[in-house]
Amino acid sequence: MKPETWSYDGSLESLLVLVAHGLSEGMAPASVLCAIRPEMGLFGNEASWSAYCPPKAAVDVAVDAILEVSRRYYAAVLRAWMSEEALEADLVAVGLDCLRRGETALGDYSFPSLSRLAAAVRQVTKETHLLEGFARFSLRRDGRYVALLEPQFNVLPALAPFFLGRFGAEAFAIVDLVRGFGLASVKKGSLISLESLNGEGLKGVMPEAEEEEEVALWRSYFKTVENVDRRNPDLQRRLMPLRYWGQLTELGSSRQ
Amino acid sequence: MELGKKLEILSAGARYDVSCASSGSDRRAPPGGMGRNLPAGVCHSFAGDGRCISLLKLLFSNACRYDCAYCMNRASNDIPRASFSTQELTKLTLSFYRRNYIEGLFLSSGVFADPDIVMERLVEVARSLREDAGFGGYIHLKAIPGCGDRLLKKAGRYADRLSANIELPTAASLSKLAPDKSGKEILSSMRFIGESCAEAREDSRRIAATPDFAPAGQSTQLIVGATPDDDMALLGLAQSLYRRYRLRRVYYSAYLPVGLDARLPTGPPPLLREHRLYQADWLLRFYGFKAEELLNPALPNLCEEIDPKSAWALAHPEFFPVELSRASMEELMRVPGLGATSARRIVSARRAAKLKPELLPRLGLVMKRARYFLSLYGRALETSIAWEGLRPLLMDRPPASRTPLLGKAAWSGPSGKPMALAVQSQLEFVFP
Repeated sequence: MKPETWSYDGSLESLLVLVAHGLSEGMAPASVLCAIRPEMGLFGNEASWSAYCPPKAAVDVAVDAILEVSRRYYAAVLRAWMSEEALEADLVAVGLDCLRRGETALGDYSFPSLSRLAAAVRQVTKETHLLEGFARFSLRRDGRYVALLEPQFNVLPALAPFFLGRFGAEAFAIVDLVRGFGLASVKKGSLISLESLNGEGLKGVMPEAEEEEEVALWRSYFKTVENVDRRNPDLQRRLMPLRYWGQLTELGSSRQ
Repeated sequence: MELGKKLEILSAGARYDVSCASSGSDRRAPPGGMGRNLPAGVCHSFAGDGRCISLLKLLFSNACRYDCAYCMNRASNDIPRASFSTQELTKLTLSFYRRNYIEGLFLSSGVFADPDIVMERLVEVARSLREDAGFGGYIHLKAIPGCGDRLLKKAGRYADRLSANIELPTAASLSKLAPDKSGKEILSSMRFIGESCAEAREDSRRIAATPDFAPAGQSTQLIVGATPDDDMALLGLAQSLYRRYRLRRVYYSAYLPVGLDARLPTGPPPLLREHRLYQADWLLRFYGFKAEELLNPALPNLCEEIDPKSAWALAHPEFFPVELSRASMEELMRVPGLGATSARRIVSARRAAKLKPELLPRLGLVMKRARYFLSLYGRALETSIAWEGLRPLLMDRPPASRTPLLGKAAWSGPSGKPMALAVQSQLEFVFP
């Protein structure tokens, strides 16, 4: 069968169906067009993309098919989607290799597709881990703790379990300012989109008055805990890249 | 005294304690509570000195009746003194935790009264956080030397990690600079904590409801450069503590001058020496090295110019080159420039396919140093440099701002849950 160009709308459900399709056909596409990648704005027909959403049953079947390959592979598919990189053809190629050789294939970095996939997974995992630490929450007048983030990748779904465990029954929300969506906690420790929560997201919900006092205490702590005899700003910047500084309360961010 | 001022004084007093890790514990909050530990720990910020801020590191009180020469909080030092109340500490910890500033609390204290009384106060803060506030975040408590086993046992129930700082590696150094402290008491606390951790682990295998005892184990800290003790004394002690008391970590802290005392060196902290000790400590813990392999009476200090693994490699030409196609993980990890991840990738890649030189960069291996010590199917990867010429190529360039090397200027003497499962559960809320 001749490899061809496939297309999908960029959603996770569609990607899962696309990958499962490739696995069942035993063939990786020559290339994949994705509606939400910038290059599609030039030549693609965006209107026709947004209408497609695979039925839930199809997604369930796709998830089962991918999990059958390997759980590690399934995790890689999810992370690859979060990376927003053009890795669809690589995902299918790695999946097929994995079907042939078992999980050993996931250790074969000499396979270019796996090498690219692993690099993307590493980046997403790193970004998730960094934001678990660098997200800063502030208390809003509706009693909710809110963090406004600018993640490099689409990592909110990967961050959510960490903060669900952390906040327990307390109300919180995390907002991706770059992609314009957020997740808010509701009862029973689950999350919904911010729009579904109150219809207008966080508009009009201002920080609580006590916030200023807490921020001042934290900034004072941050300043005092430094040993000036060991000052090493290069190391600080290496471990805490500048692109996160805008959201860090201790470094003067007023975003929260 | 207002809370802000107390925070300033008591965080300044605690900043010389290096430990700030929040790793090793997988605790969850009880129903209705808040907080969750990740076994890998989380760094929430990095101070201007480049050190991780993961825990709210505070003293309960900086009043101290001991007069340890190297300590800022010593009795004879004329500094403002303050103490927190349990409520203040609990409120501050929860408030910072909710804002994701910290992963939990690190609580130490000056010995302002009988060790039992001080330890009781620390335990009460931990109890209040766990039982009154339902806090499931990380708690690191300092074990006050000389306190009773009953209090240590109680502390271990609430804390994720306990630590007793030994500070100086020899009894002679301790009696010279910290005459009120007893090395025996510190080691006795360590032994008790180590045994209690082991007991709790053993019991939990048989009875699931066994209460935790410091699930993240115990750590200690050694001051580097405050006394003429050499690296062999420091590393030898660390190795013995890892073996005998199963410590999770030994921290090394370059001595920072905190006053004028003829018994102590002056000048900048020996940061490079501290760095080399951490490298050597890493080799002891994860790379299967022994202290005796890295240092000996003829060579009691780590080399300033090159890292300990490279120094060992240069001294053992008979071990190299290591054959990439069949070397064990342990052999690969002894190659300068190769870490555990690289070694794992090599083993995994050669299981999947035949190794070729051009594929090595794709494995993400950093070959800058390693290539001088490796061969593939009997052919050395790098043949242009003779063994004798390797040393300059393996040298680190010390950062200009980080001097001196061994603090010699001041001394005349010797110097989980699978990721797929975790993410799968997210699909429900990403696409409800």
